[in-house]
Amino acid sequence: MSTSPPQSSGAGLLGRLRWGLGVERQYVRIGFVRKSQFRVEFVNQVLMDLCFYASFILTFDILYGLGGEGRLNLGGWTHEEMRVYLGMVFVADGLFMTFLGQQWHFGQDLKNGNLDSIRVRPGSTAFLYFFQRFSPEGLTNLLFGLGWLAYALVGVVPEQTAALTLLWSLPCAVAVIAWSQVFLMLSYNVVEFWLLNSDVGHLVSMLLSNFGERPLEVYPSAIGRLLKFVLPVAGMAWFPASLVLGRLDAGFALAYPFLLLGFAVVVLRIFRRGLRRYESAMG
Amino acid sequence: MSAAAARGPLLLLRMVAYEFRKRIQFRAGFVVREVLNGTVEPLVMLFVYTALYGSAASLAGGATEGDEVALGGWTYREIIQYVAGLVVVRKLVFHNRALDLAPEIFEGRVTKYLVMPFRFFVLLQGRFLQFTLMQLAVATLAWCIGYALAPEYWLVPVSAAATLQAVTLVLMGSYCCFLVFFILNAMAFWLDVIWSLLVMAWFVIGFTGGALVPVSQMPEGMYEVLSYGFPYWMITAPIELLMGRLGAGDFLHGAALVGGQLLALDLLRRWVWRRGLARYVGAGM
Repeated sequence: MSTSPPQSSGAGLLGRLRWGLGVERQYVRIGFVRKSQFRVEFVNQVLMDLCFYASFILTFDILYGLGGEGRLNLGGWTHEEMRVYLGMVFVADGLFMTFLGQQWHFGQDLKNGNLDSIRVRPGSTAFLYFFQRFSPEGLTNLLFGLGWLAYALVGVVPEQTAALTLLWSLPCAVAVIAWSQVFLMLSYNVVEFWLLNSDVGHLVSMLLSNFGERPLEVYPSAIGRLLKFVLPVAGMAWFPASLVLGRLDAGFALAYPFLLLGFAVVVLRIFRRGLRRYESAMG
Repeated sequence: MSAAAARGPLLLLRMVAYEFRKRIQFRAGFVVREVLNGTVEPLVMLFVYTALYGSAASLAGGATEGDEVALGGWTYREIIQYVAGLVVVRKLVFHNRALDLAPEIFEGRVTKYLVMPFRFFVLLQGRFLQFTLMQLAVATLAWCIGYALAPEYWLVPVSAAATLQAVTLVLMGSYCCFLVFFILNAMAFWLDVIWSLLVMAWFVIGFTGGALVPVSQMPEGMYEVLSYGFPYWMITAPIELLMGRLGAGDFLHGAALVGGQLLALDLLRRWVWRRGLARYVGAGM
């Protein structure tokens, strides 16, 4: 693997992508080496996320069961649809835990000046910093999440969505989740540049993740619009689940990824501006 | 009283003052960690419940507020009050992030406390007391703000006695949490990383206590089992006491159950600490 990203425009996007994948492969290798040393911790982290998933599944089983099975709905989402929605939430969480675990340390690292070693490396600071902590246990939970999603989809095929439709909609849904998770995470953390080590990033992350873990139809329309169009938390589970379940009209389904693209561009610009404020030890 | 006996309480007071100073160091962080802590989930559940009861009402033929639908023995108005109670009660519950004992053990820094002429645990009790005093003030403020904004929906205690009983149960439960988190932190004598245990415990305590759904709204079998645990008496039961759904008899029953669990946890805490110290070499892991 080359030690620096291709600088010339001739190398193009493909060269940069290959370089990025090479870096990520090294992070994956280091992640496995590190975690093989902490075997109990591996099991604990898998169990921890399974507890999180179980609490969600049980909560909605209890809530839907209150009115007699198959009678109640949540903002128009039936129990079977909600299971698919939870599948998307678990996949989003699995992706986040697998690749983006370093974000929990961003405020503290910013305060302590720990970004120095990242900034002098030849490549995107955001990518090199936030993707550095690959987690095999997160990957295990991602597989559990995908397993649950498959189980939930069995409950809605073929009544609600055709198996053939899933062939294209499911990969698109997972891609949207991955894209949204990365740029939403970045947007939560940029606040820390201005409010150093305040935990505001964590609070915003917790607040919006919590909102995104339930269908947007349960919120007042103003909050729903905010979560769709301003801070597109909808990309985390609502849009992917709606896409797979055929709940979206074609125009919206085609246009929404462009909104996510625009959001990513804005967040990256703000991140770069924030990075200019970085002065090694800031706290 | 001998000088040695007076030293313990004085040290505890100093620790409380010290912990307060640490907490208010970063003002934005203070607001986020201490004031807004525990408000997000209840807010989200409020919307979920509103949608759920809306669905139930439409199934019942558009029931109005006068003839409210009950789900699992809870009307919509009661659920709103429960969620309001959650905002206040959860602030008083000792948080899994509030102790930092594990790094001290892991990095071999416990030694400096062991040579001091007092019990190390007093320092951590100071942390618990500081947390409780601060959160009592924050919870009171949160209740006042909620009551000022929505007096007709907010949870108003049925009596002063119920308030006293509820606060007693919450604080006993909170001390149980403190002991649980101490024990899990002390696992650092054996394990490399323990934060996942803390987060797992936090999930389990929250769910089994009723942080997402009131335990008494859960299916009968679950309720029967969970009503023996301190989390139920720390979250759901105190709110039900404040609402008047439970009475003095229930309080006594709960206090006895939680008291027993508190003693058992304290014995376990002492045992784990002794066993851990026997392994400790003071050089870090």
